[in-house]
Amino acid sequence: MSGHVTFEKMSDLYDGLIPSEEEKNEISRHIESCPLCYSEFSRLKKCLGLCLELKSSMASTLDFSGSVMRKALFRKRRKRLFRFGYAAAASVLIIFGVTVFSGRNDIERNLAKLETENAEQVKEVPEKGHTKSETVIGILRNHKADITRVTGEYVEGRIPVSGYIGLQKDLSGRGINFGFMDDYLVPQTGWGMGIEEVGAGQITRESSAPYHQPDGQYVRFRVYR
Amino acid sequence: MSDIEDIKIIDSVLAGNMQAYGDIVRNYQDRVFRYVRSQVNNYDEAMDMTQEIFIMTLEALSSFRRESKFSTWLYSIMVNYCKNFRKKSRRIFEVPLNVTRGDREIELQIPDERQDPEDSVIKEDSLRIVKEEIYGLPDDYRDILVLRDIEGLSYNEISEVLDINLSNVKVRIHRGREFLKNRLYARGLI
Repeated sequence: MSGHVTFEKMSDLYDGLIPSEEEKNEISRHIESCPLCYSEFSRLKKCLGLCLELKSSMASTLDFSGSVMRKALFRKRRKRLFRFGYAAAASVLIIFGVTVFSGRNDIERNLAKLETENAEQVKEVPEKGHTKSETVIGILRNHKADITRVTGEYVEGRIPVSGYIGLQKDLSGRGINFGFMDDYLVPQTGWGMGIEEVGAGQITRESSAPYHQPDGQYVRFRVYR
Repeated sequence: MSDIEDIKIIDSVLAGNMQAYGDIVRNYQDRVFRYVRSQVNNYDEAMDMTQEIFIMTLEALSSFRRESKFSTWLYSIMVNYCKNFRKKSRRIFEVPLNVTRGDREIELQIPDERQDPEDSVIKEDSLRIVKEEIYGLPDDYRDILVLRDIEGLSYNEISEVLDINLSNVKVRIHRGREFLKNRLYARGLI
């Protein structure tokens, strides 16, 4: 064998890990004959011997089993308690969520109700410039006008010239669009010159015409939506 | 206790006989404690850690797949627990208690009145030195030296426990032993 035995070989020799018997014998022979390797191997053996001695002296001197079992049982119970706690918390959350959700539904229902009511109320208030047919018809009847036609767009009728001024004021005062035509010269069956101006307060030249017509004449008109 | 006996006890524990786990604790407590003690230089802390390792093992018992020996599995839990403990401990900074008297700053020493129970067992100074030197080894060498030269685990078992390959185990064993031998030699013990 050339040179000294490496520490790795000594360590393997101690553990019986030298694979070949021949090599093992050769290393052992060298250690026996070489003072340096001998003292090094002796130190290793002594060092590991002390470790083994330490093993027997390093003991807990106590039995852990009792305390381990107590702690383990305690933790198991605590875990169960926590699990119960989590379940309880989850239930509370679910109940709270359902309450909030149903409360929200109530709110939404109330809002919808309110909106419907408001819509109904809004419907009942005539928008400026537009009105319900019934209201207009009521006004016309108040002024003793003959209503000849009611469509989706207008109410048509006729009124004696004497009553026309009052009707005109009433309609204009309510901001209701209306138009009229001078048909005292034309046969009652036709529209004659047709409808002129449309819109409250926009009565022009023609508006004054009925005032100058002889008694018994009438004015045909249309009140627009 | 053989591995077959361990498996019998484990089956019994898993079947609901919790008290049977006491036998496992009694069988392995010294081995676990010795390893933990080599990692922690505090007797009481080592006791707490040992108990914690056994509780963790019990809680994880149903996940033991029986692919290795129970002891190997237990040692893996033990090694990982200690590794995590070391990591956490390193994050804690020790602040010295200093007072200034005149121009001098004096460090206050708070003596630990409690006697380490181990010291009454370790009568010989030589063993106390060995214990100190093992504790002072780098983590990798200390782990492997305790498992091999104190607990007597085989190279293969160490490989499984530490999750490193066999050649790495060999290298670390050689270096760890050389490290310890040189330190003990330097202290005139060998």
